[in-house]
Amino acid sequence: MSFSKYFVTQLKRIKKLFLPTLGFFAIFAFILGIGALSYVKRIDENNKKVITIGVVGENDTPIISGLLGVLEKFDDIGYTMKFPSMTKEEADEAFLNENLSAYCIIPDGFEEALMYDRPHENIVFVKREGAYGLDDIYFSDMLPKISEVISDVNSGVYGFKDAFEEITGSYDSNVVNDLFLKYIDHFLDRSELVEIKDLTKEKSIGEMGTLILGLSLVFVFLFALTASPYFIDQKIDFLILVRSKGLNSAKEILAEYIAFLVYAIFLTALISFLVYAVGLIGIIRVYLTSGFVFTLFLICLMIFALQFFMYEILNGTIAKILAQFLVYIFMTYVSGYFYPAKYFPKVVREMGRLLPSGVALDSYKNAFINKLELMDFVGVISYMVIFLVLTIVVRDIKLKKEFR
Amino acid sequence: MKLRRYMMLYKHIMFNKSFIIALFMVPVLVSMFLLVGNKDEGFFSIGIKSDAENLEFINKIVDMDSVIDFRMLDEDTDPENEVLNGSIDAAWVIEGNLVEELTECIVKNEYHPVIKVKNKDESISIRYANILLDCILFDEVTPIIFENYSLKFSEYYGNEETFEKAFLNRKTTAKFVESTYLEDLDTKSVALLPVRGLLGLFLVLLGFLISINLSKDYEKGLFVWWNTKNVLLRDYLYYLGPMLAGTVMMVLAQFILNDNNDVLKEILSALLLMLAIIVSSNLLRAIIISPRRMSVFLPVLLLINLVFCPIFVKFSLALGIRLLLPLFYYLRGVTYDMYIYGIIIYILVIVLGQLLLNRFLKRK
Repeated sequence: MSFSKYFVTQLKRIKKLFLPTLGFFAIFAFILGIGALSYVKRIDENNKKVITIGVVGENDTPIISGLLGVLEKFDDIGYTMKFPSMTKEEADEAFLNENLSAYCIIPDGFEEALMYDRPHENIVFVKREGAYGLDDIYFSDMLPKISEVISDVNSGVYGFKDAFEEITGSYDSNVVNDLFLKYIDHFLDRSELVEIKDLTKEKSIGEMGTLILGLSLVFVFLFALTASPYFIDQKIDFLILVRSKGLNSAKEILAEYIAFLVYAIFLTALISFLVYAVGLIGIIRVYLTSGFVFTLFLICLMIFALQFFMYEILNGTIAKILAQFLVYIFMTYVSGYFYPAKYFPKVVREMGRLLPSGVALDSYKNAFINKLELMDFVGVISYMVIFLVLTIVVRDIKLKKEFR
Repeated sequence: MKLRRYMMLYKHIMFNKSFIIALFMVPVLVSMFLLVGNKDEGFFSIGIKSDAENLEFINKIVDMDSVIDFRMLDEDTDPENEVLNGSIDAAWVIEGNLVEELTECIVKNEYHPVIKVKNKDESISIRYANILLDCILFDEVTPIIFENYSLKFSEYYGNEETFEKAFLNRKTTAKFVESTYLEDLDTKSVALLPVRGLLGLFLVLLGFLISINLSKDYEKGLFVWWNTKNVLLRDYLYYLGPMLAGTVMMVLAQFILNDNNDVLKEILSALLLMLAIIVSSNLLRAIIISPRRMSVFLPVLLLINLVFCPIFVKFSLALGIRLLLPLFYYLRGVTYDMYIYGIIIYILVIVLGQLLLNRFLKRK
């Protein structure tokens, strides 16, 4: 069998992948649409994410209402916070329907207990379980500090009340409220105590940008799974036949891989279209450049080369796909696709950057900000070549065994 | 006899070097995740540079229990360089005596910068650190505002000590706020939280792959000579062996990940997840039928689970879709027991659905 004949056969097999991939793409776009809807639902007119925290119980007392008022103006975190008042039943229902990010229960008589220094139950935050974004992590870290702020206000305002009462024998709420207002004023002016200098010298996509790009690249890895029927359908008997007709492993793999170039072009076009559409809708600012499209194409090719290698060394459909899933997830995790890599120990961080997923993310990021360098391509292409050579070696060993 | 048949079926799936390797990859990779995610230094680092007179304030910050790793910078260290070369994520520089500076601001009622923050990239972490700094400064400012305010009264009543004593009497380290869920969370290993969902996803994937195998076996005519009245039970038992092996690996990995787990609840919820995956995968197989079409559907299944189950992101839409996914119940069941009961109802509904479908297909 000649190289060209084998190549045409592979092209025919690849052709079968196009329709399912389009189907997958349609579902992917649909889910992305739901995601966009969910995002739009949670942003206000200033393009800030709205965090709604229900408040159950007494929230019209001076300290609590004052602090909630301050929190509503706490816009430097980049969110708009809203604190609607509701009953426990309403909060439970809204929370279950996911109309609330969290809710807090202020126990009855909480502030009165503070005022008269009596034992009290704590304010309880009911927070969603499961997934954690960075905002959830910081919210959890912040809780003790919120407690401290209440303690500070309590010692100031009600400490003053105690002393005033002790000295004068009476309690003047105006005097106490006046002190409380000074605390509130401080909170409103707090930014003047801190001078912030941003040392960023060059264009960068930042932590959030890296995460968005990382997650989008995870989906590129996932798209590679659409090619799995191609590998699963490949029968060893057919390969033996092809070899007996004079085509060696290197030629076989090359013919298969070149046929995959067509699929990689198709996949790149689909993903680029999606990126373009996202940019058009304006969810995030994306500019589709030729450098970006070319890098995406190379990354697709590298992922396919890795897939060639993995499917060659493993046997059985279940094992192949399971291993592919586990390896992809581990690689992307270590390379900081899900959480910024800077949160990992230094050795792991370096390892993550050297992995195929790390090399892909680096070049993808640079392509995104139009800062591509030759090294970005060298990393991706080197991995592609290494995986292809390894695949040829493994195929050769396998077929030699069969011939023995 | 029947047991032998099942054992032969399991042998054909499980006694494969690659399958065993793939299974053992689960605990091995989770151990590696543990190595990656457990960073002792914290989540984010901030260097503090200050004169010795603010030592008490700095020690308070450095000793604070936080996801942020606060470090004191040497006198001769250039904080801007440290930020630029990536040794720290941000720097807080305090010049002069902080308490004196803050007092001046409050007494004159004219605020001026007392801390200089140097950072790179405006990120959520940076913004959070700045808010945290506001809270830390508030702790310093409260007694100063109090003292300044009480001064005019103590001048009038001549009892400064009473005010000071009352303030200190009220000062407490007691908690005022708590969380129903996050309280026990070890924030330093928070980067490991998606691993639970990913392990569940591994089991979902395994279940579906067994479905593809079962479809192939049906296509090959493997069951032609295996007559049974209860086809559904035979199909479910086909899944049992490899799924049980996968579940054991998943539970093992969960314990490697977090040894504080409630053993009984962990095992029970894993077994229920396994059963839910078996029945739902088998229903999908009965609907999709062809192994080729099933392998095409595989990435869709993964995508739907990745997006709609609370693994990485939380969607507030499409609750209907999420209720169809066993993994959703499993992940929610960690906190809410009602989802554990939910998964039992899910299994019953799916089995009922499959019985009806089988009856419908038989009639057709």
